[in-house]
Amino acid sequence: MSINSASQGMLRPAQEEIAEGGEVGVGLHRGELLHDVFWGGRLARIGTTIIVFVVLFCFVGPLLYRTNQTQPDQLLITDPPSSQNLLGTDGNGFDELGQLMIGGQSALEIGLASAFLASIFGALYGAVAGYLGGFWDGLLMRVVDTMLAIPGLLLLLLLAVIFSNSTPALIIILTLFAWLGPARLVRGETLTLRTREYVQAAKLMGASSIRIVLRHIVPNALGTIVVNTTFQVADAILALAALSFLGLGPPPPAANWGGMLSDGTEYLTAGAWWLVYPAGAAIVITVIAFNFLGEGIEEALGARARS
Amino acid sequence: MTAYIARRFAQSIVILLGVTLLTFVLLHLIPGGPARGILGPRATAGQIAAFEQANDLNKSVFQQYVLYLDHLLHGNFGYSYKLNETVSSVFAQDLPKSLALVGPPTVLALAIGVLLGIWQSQRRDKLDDHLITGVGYVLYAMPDFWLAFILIDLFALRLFWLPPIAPSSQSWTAAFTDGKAMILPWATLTLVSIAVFSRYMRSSALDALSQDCIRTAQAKGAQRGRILRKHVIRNASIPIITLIGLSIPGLLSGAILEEVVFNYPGIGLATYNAALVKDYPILLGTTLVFGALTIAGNLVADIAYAYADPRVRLA
Repeated sequence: MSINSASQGMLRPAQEEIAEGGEVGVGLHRGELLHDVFWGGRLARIGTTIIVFVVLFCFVGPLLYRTNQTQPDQLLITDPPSSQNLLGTDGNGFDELGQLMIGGQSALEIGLASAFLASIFGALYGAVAGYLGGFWDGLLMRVVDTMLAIPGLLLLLLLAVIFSNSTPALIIILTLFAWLGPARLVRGETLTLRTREYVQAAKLMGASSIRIVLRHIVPNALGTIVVNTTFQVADAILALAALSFLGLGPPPPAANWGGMLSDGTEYLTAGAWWLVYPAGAAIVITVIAFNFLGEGIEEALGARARS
Repeated sequence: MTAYIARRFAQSIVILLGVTLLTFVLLHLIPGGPARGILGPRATAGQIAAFEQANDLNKSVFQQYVLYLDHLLHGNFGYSYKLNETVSSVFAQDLPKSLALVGPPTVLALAIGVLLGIWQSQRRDKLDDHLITGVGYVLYAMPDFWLAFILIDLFALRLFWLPPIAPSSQSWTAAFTDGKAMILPWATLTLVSIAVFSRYMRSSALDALSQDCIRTAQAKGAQRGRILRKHVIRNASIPIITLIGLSIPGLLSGAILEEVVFNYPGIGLATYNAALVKDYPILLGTTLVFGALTIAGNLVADIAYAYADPRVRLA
């Protein structure tokens, strides 16, 4: 990963090419579209299945697999996996599998929340910049360029140090770092959309800029936005893991995958593999699932959403 | 060409100014104000007043920014009271070490990634193509610090082949004189970057393969190896130039994590330690320097691209 990355989506070749903005879902019944998007291609099917499984694991799992996650147990510190604790116990004596479930909750919640906020803000920002064009476009996009010039992880680190690392603050910090991609993408798409006949027509009929952006430009860039949001979730989960590894994740006692990895590595020399491998695997599986889903939707909508 | 370079140069200056503005704003957003942020929570009111006086913090914000720029232009990046050192001396000491960490893996990953990408484009949709894509996918989805711990667990803790930490010497040359200890950090960064480069090269090579010149060459009866060398690799390599520029921020981010994992005393570890004790001058200094490196990298990549592909200059 590279949050590189925190991961500004390094696998996504950054081409400034302008996409053909297609009208979303033309000629497709809404149900068919949903089916195509989430189930149509092989990648979408695998991605959706894994995500459903991960969500069930994190949110329903703790109801079925009941473990002590509140009272540290000195007698159970770093016990290897057993029939009692399927994945062993961590440095506090908590059941590792149970921690994995709870840790996933915060990863999913923070990842989804920041991806949605970043997409909404980024898309509006990009649409406004592209629609206004000229001086404003130049100014608004230089702000984006400036923030992109700073390595993502460093920006996150800096923001997390200056502000707090409570869960809501983390969502906002991740959003501040993630909105740049969608802003660039949607701005690129807006540049073609704004020359379309229906936008010109709306303009001639006296529609306001706000109306044109909200009613005509954003809806037609929706495919791109949705696909990008999916990738953003994956990136946010990785970014959160890196931040937690550096000790700036959600504050304890809340478990999270990156923090669990960070704690677990302290016991690596003692051979406690169960504190390092499962948490990492959970991150990888979830990130791959969201990337698969994104590629699946991209295929189904024919959108171009790689920033 | 001169006009293009001049325009790109001007753009870079604007973005660099943007980065200085950002660090300046962040400095002022520190809860309690910049003086308390820099001196720490134990500073007395008198010390803070003296600091504000000495550092012109009671002037207008605009004047402060101009002074800030003036300091930066004179190489004054601030003073770390936590380390009792100027930020620039920390950089002079630690940045070369980070470059020694990041440089070799980048070159290695580029070479391997380009070869893999071309190989994949020739074996499109065959088993090995899917296999390489799959492995790349997993590597990309992997937190790089986790990959580092897997390698440490395997090669250092179980097989005892390699040391689990990097050389902690104060000299950057240690990276090369104590090469064995650098194998794991270098390998981690290489693996992560290969995933990116090979995937990009694959699609770039497939793109080149679909062009008319390839069909013409085939029609003329040119041999497969010649087509590959003369047309595919040449055309497909140009976009890689941009990718090198674009991957700089990712590499620097990766360096922060790797240095923490392997306890390698570069600028990444210094930044991490600064984050732990809220040493703002170091954090903001790193932001500026990393930002400048990224901007310079992109500028060089764009100019190199324009040399390689004259069509860009007209755009």
